[in-house]
Amino acid sequence: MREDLLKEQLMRYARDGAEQAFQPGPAEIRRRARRHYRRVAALSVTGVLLAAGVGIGLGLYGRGATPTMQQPQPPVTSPAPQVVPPSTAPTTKPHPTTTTGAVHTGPPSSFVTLVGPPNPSASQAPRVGVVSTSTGKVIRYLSGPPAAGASVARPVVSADRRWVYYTVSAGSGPPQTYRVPFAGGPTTKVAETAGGNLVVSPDGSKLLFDARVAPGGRYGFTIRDLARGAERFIPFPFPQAGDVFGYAWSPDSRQVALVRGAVLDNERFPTQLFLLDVATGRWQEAVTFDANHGPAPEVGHLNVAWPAARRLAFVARIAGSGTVPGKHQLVYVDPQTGKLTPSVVLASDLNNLSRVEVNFLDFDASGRSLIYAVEGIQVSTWWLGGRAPVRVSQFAALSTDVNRAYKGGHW
Amino acid sequence: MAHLEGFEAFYAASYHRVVGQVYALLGDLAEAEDVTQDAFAKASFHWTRIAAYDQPEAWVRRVAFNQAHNSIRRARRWLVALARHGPPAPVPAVSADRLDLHRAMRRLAPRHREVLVLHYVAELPLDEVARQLRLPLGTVKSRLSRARSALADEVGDEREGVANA
Repeated sequence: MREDLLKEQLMRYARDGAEQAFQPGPAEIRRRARRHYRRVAALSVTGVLLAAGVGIGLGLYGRGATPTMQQPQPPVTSPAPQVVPPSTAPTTKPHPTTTTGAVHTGPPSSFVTLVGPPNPSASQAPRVGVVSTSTGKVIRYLSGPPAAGASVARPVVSADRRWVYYTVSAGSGPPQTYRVPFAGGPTTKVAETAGGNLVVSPDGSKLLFDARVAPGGRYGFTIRDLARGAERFIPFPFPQAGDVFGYAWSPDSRQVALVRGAVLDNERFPTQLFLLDVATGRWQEAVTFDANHGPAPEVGHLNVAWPAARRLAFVARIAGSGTVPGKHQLVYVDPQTGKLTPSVVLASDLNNLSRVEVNFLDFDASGRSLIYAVEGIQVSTWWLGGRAPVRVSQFAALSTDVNRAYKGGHW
Repeated sequence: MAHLEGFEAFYAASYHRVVGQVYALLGDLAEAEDVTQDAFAKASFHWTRIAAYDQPEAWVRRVAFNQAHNSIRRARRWLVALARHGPPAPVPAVSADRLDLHRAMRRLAPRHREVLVLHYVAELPLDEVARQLRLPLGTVKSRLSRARSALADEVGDEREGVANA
């Protein structure tokens, strides 16, 4: 199925629906509008009375839906993380560590995510919130976007946990980068530009984000020195023919890993891992994932993490067959040798329902604990860590909205 | 009704286009009609403001898609409940391409259907899809790639190596 054929089929499918659809007269639409807003008004009055009476705020949005942040999940939406037997997944070995921090025996105390209404609009966009991992509740909201109608995305936490960085989009202008103290406080602008990815170096000195413009016709990313404010454009080591799926700083903040794969049909390239020496700006092609090499980062994945010098982590989707659902497995790759080490299964696809996605991946500073998010029918956040046997627990179920980003950061 | 000046022409011109896109997203015509009519009703209520937008139709589509997502979630919960109590009724065997596509689309995740519809049916360029969904361009590209791959899996069309880059 070529792209033009797919488009033709989808257009015909939509046209069939449109041709069969009944179109009521404009008067009926106006009546419908009056009915709708009478209902909203009635709900508003009820909400005010309830709030006044029992002190409970009633969020009114759309048809009166409340944010689903604490909505319990039906069992089938929960991915079923399972530990791969030690014979096939050497996860019983403790991960190499970059620090001598204590081993977590329970979920870390908090993480940062976007929380908000299921249908973000100009007036009700998601905000950055600090969420307790033990209760799943929002501990506090950090300052919202600086202007009405702006929306925030991609929150990340600095290594020292002092700052939360995020992007702000308003109108049709380019997104900008802001930061707010993790402990709460005023929001300040950090950079006039921002891209889809935002990654803070572990030493907290540099911020990496996609460059939206292509100086000299080259695409790449920007590294901003947070202390001096100087920015440096780093062009990709390839023409913009494939696409880039994720960046990760090395634990010593000296290198950046970049996973690149092909997105569109007419752009067929193997998935590759490149390493950048930040000081010299020199690129090195570290690993090419092909059919003989083993599991590859799933095309379309934005998740790469680098918890230890010789262990770079990604999520690979292992296809299912027949009634056996596909699974999403954590895989480590040694960036120096390309050696792959499959680890635990983070989630399984749902039988008879759509695939799930593992759409966030982050380790703590010790490299032993992992926080990740699974998006199926709903979005859920999971923690994996502790001593063997690996313990997996679900600790938060958040809104189902697709415009969501997570960052566990360095707890 | 001065505040509704222009609404009727807008409604007449764009209703079928929007309902077709919502139908492609939902796969249920009655639900698509309901959701689309709701969106136009809201547009009529705020028409003075919306008429000033560059693309009032994009606003209506966004409202309709948001509502459609709620509808899908309700349907999914119902489906999950149904699955607990036994398999669904057998679906009659069909061979027509359209029915295959219909079933395949309904099995895709809503976020995948959404990018397919916006890019291929509404014919929006990827950066506009990203702007409307408030997603980074890279996320939209990757989501589109996954949507095409999942759709190819669903229709079982592997002859031409669909989207398995």
